[in-house]
Amino acid sequence: MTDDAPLTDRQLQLMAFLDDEMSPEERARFQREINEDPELAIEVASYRNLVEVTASMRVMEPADHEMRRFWAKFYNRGEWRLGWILIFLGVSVLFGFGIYWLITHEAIPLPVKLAVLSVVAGALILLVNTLRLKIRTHRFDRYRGVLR
Amino acid sequence: MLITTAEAIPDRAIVKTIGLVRGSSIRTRHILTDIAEWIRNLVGAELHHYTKMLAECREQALDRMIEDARRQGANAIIGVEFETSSIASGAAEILAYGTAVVIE
Repeated sequence: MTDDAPLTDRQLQLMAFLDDEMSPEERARFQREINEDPELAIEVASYRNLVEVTASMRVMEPADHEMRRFWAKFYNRGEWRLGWILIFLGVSVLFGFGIYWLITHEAIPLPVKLAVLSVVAGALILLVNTLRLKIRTHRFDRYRGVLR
Repeated sequence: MLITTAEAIPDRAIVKTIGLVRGSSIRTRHILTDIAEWIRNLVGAELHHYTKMLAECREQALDRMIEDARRQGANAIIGVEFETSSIASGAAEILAYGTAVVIE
């Protein structure tokens, strides 16, 4: 029997019997068949064993170190590196081009140019400052090791 | 420090009720993590960076609540509950609170 083969009537009956999905009359009739047919009795015992084994199976959560190993491996894949590099390149080019366009575009008045550059420079200073603080305090974060 | 979600501890008598203790925490990931999680969100999966962020937040809130209780001289916290709020987008926000007591 392959995985794609349809279930026979007997298998369907057998599963219904084990899953307690038969009416009392059907159940009694099937029980008589089991008593009279040793092959069917063996098959029922085999299926019952399978049901018990599958019912006792539990999905295990992987240990934390296994999770760390898995994700480290996942993120070290070349595709992710390449993806990030392309995103950084694209953003850097767009950012640089935006600044260049702003400076060289003659239609934009000088005060507006200065204001935009001031906002960008201010945001960059704050970002670098916050980033520096984060890098310095990161190793003291006692919750770094918490995973789940 | 004994911490329980129950309103009483069956085998230990409460000698003194101190009162409300609480701890809260709000944590975020950096923008690159948000982008990575957004990409993972497109195909469906456990957002493990966010799972970690929520777990960090929960532990920090719990620790702050315990510290609050310890400062007030308690040796147990009963009726502990967690609450979440939504202040910052993409951030995990957890408030842990309970009643600090002194037990035998």
